[in-house]
Amino acid sequence: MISIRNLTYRYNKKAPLILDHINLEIGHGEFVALIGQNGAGKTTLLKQLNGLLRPSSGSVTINGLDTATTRTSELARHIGYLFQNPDHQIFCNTVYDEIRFGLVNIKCQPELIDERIRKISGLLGLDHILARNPFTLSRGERQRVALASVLALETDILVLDEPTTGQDYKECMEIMEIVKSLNEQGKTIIMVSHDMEVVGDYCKRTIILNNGRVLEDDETSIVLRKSQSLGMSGLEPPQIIQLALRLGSSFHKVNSPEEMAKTIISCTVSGGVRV
Amino acid sequence: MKQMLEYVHGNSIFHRLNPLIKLIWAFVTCVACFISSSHLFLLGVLLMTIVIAGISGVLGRAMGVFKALLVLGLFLMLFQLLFTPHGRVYFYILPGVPVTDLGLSFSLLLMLKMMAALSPLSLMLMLTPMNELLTAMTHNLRVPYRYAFVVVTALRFIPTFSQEMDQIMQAQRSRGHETDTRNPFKKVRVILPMCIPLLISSVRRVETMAISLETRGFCTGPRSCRKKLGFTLFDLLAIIIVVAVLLLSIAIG
Ligand SMILES: Nc1ncnc2c1ncn2[C@@H]1O[C@H](COP(=O)(O)OP(=O)(O)OP(=O)(O)O)[C@@H](O)[C@H]1O
Ligand SMILES: [Mg+2]
Repeated sequence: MISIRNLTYRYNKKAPLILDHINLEIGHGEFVALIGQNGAGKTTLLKQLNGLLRPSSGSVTINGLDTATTRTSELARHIGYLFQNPDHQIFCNTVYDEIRFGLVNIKCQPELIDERIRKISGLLGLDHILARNPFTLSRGERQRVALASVLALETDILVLDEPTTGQDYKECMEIMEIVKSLNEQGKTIIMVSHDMEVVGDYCKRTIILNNGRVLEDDETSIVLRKSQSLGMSGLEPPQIIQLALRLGSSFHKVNSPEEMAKTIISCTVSGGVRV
Repeated sequence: MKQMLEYVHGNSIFHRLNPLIKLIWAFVTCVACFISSSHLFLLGVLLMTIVIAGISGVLGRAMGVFKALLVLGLFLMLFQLLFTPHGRVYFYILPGVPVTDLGLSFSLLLMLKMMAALSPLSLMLMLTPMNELLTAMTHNLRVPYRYAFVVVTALRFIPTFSQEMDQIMQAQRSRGHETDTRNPFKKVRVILPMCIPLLISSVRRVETMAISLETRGFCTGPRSCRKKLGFTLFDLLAIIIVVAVLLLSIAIG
């Protein structure tokens, strides 16, 4: 359970306000997308969640712990945090050690550690490069190493700052499928993405952040239909929703190609055309 | 650390002073402080630095630097105090470890020396943009561009490194490593292993930078500079003051 009350933040006293009176409640098992243009304050907001940054005023509470008084290393038991840039996160000399690092810190039993590393690296297709130095890997591979090191901790909240950047289409889908199945197992997911297709396909709730304020916060299918709010953030609805919007009111529930096909068929049938 | 060396934007007379003079001033004062063994002179230099910082509107920053230097200085002083057994004994800290008048005066001198010698350098960096410093070195002091570039880049990288270190600590903390412990002994133990990742990432960064420099034609031909550095009446005055300080220190020291 995440509760953000009247959160404001500036990087220092004279700097401009980056987060401006943010109020959010995120419950167990939610799958939330945080979107907005470059510099909107998404990363700044995410860093508030595990105490990497602390509120200038207002409060952030995670599972009943106030981030202002709880150390990040303690919050790490509740929240896994994937950095926007994998190179900001990776510091060990082998992929294996990188994934192991957090497990040792949360005092995972030694006999379980190896098992967990094998499991997560299998899931993310890293088993053949466990002995490699992360810095010699490709950008996409490094991103997955970073993700593996976070997922290994098996925290109930996952905060992912652009988990799919640098991935080709197939990897992107695979990562999102993993995240989706974690969500189905009851984990809370909060992710930043610039890919509206991914947001539309996977996230149940979407929050638009604009100049440090919450501009929209609702079900994804509703938020992605607000062309004006999206436009203010330099975004566009996913193509399927753009098409649905143009097709008129009977398509207001269409969010996927399957629904599109069904609705088209039922419209044409009810219009008297035989299919 | 970051604050000690970063340029603070401003338009005071000291900001506008010819960078060459600031460079010479900082250097001369630094040397003078090392030569001098007069408490009074060193205090004077410190006072002068504070006044200049005040006029230039960077007093807040400078005070931060003084505080950091003071902590360092106190450590130095403590050690010096314990290892100077000569002179009149005031009292014993531990059995066999006396505090003497000579020890006190000498360790105080050492502390003042360090503070007075380093603060002008730090102030100079706060008041001079890097590229002006570079121009002053290459065009006025005839330092070959390559070497001047190395010096300036080294300075400019210190804040970058401290950011990098912060970044790694954030990454470790968010995976449950206690880099945020309040216990100073534990903190040292936790931070030491970080030096290796920091070193590796620095080397990588330098490599990337070297490539980036080469692809943009570093040192392939003669350089020109956009801004010519002129001397004004105030610059002249400043030179006279700098020379006077040097002479004074020789006279007192
Ligand atoms: N360490 C910092 N110090 C000062 N200002 C910062 C710092 N980090 C970010 N900012 C400023 O805060 C604002 C929001 O940055 P943030 O990184 O949260 O944006 P973002 O929404 O994550 O953007 P992006 O989509 O590019 O990742 C920006 O204007 C940025 O310049
Ligand atoms: Mg960001």
